[in-house]
Amino acid sequence: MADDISGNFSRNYDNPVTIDAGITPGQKGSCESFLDSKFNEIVVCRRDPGLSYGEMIQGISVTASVIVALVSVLSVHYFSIKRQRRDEQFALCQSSQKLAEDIADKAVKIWIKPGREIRRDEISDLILGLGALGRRLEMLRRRKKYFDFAKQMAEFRSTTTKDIEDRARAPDQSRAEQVRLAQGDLDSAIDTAFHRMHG
Amino acid sequence: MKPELHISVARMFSRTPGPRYEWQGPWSGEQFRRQHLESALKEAERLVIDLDGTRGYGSSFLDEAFGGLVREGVMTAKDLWKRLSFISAEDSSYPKEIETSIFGAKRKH
Repeated sequence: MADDISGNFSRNYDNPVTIDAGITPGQKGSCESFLDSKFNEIVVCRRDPGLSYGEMIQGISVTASVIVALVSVLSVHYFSIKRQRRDEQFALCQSSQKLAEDIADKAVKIWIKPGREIRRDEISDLILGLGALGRRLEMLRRRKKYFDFAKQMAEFRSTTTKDIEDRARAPDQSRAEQVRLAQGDLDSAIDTAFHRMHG
Repeated sequence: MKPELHISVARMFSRTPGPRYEWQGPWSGEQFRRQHLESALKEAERLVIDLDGTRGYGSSFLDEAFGGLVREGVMTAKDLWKRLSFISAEDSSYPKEIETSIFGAKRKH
């Protein structure tokens, strides 16, 4: 509510009567003058009311709406990026598991054959596959250090390829089973890491 | 003796490392050990082995190249491990496997 201060002023403008209107020099205000029935000048000063409660509430609600909208946009963006990353990680996990399975299939076929029947290109193919698998798992590890399968990968590579090129060896069913076990360990380590990360 | 020597398998040896022994095929672990590692260990205090840039390693290659140094009595596993460091940005499982090979190797004679 605006403060109204009214007062009488003398007609002697050289020595005007001043009444404190409560307006400090920095404050804005407006004054109007009237003449009363005796021709005395009445000056009414009205202090600048500033913002009314209604205007303040309106301002606050607009600001709040903007903040809410901004937070909503940011959270939608954050969750969409998070979901996109999760989808990428899921795709990488799945393709790594599929590749490990393919490698294990090929390795089992090699280990159940006698060494003299194995062609060099079969072994090269296996090693190339393992190289690709290692790089893929490394991509996962770089995204999240939690995806660290170095131990399982080393074990899988070792079981799959160590002395595979020995031409004197007999068919090795037990090694073929070890390959499957190592692949299973890698597979479940990937699953466990993914589910711990994303639930 | 130099303080450090850098050996890149892909650039100085082969992008397609092969089997364990030389008689099993080209670019073997045995060949890499003899041509590069044994002489480099005499030349430098510390070897930095860059494993990146190849198409992949078989375990036989890694075992013979690094575990072979212990088996051949070039040095003990502990001393060897202290003098090696690896660059393996493409697959961090290689140093792990090499460590297993080195500490699992038994000296032949």
